Amino acid sequence: MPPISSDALVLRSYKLGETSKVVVLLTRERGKVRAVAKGARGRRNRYHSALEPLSEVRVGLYGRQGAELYRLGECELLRSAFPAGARGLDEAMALSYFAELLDAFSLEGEAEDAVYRLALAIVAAVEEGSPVTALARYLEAWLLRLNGLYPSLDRCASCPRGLPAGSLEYHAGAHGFVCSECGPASGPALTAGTGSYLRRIFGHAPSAVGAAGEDESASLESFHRDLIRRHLERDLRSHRVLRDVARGVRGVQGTPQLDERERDSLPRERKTLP
Amino acid sequence: MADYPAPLARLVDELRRLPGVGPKSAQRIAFHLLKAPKEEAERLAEAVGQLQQALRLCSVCNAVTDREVCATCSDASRVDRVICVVEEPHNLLAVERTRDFKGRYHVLHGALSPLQGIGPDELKVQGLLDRVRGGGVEEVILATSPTVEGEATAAYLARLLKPLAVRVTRIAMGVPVGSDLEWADEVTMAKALEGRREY
Ligand SMILES: [Zn+2]
Ligand SMILES: [Zn+2]
Repeated sequence: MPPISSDALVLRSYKLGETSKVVVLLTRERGKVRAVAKGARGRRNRYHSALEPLSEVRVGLYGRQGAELYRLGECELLRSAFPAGARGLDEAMALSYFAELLDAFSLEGEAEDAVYRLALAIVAAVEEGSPVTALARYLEAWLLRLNGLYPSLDRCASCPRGLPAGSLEYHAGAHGFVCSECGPASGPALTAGTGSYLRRIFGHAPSAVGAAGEDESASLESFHRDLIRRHLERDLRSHRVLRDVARGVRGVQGTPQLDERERDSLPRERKTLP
Repeated sequence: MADYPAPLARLVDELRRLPGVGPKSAQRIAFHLLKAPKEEAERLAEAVGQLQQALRLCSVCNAVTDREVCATCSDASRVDRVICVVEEPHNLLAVERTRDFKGRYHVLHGALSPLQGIGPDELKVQGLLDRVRGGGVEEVILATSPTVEGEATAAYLARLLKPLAVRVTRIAMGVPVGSDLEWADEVTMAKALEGRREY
């Protein structure tokens, strides 16, 4: 039987036995699928970097349609989201978070072209150097919206009235933003600035949205996180890791940097090993 | 395994959990031990039992050792001014095999992995910072794997180490991305070390 051929994004992979991996793919044609990649580990890793998170690949999958576990045949790397040495800590952390988010929101075997295109656009925007924090808010907002979980920014969630200009008042009981007549809202409230940033997210490509202000980004982050947690009924693993990494980095920023003279006194190049 | 007597079935089950041991091999080993002289089976059982009891992590570098301070850390002929940071204890052996490196090591016991929920607190990072703060260290070589996780770990450590007035270098990525350093041969590893670059 000829393999099923599809473009795909690698969401994650985990070890299987001594020489193989199970790889979770977001395919364009078949949604999320799992496949065994034989020989993906060990001295002769035939897949090289193709199975790293958010690599864009063209795969051949063996197995019956709708199989629970395919076998991965060819896997051509179209684009690596993380060329060695070319990205920093923030990008590496963000890519892992994006992969977990996409994994959590995708159903096995259900193709969702919009999600696939969204994911590709996000990876491309990382490559173009868009700020990853803004891309995180973008991806969250769109995944929530595509799953019908983002409250309307224009209509009151509990009456037919439109929402007034200004801040957005979220009411948990109504699962959405409510007008002043339907309040008082339980919160949180998003400022008018945050609201217009959200409209930019829903109206532009990820690379065109730009960074939000610090306060706006922070309030969107926690707002999205609550929506995601309520939907998935759990926290994403990467949330905690990202927070701990940020805390670790902040911890050293208080330490004084070297001045130029001290830095110059350090050994520059040593090609031979001690 | 319904046909085997319980003790035999149990041993086969345990053996099958080991890496590289399939059901057939597990049976073969179990029957071999059954027929072997009693002392042979007991020696094996004792060795397995001793493994976790007698082994510990080196209090300096976290390598696996049977002493408080491991052989590498207590070797006076090695230099203190360079520390090579690796993810796993077996990665240390890959560097040792090159015979080119005469500095010290630090084993993290993992890499940052947001997808697996492994953050800085799950790694042996603090000890490394303490060693560098203790003085005498001029260079830290980050020899984590050339994977997204290994790169993230190196980038994180670089941010923490640079303010400590130490030179931070990263092994050269001649090692293919996505590969596990566990499998890098001596030549590849030696080249990776030699071509290391300022982080
Ligand atoms: Zn209303
Ligand atoms: Zn040691």
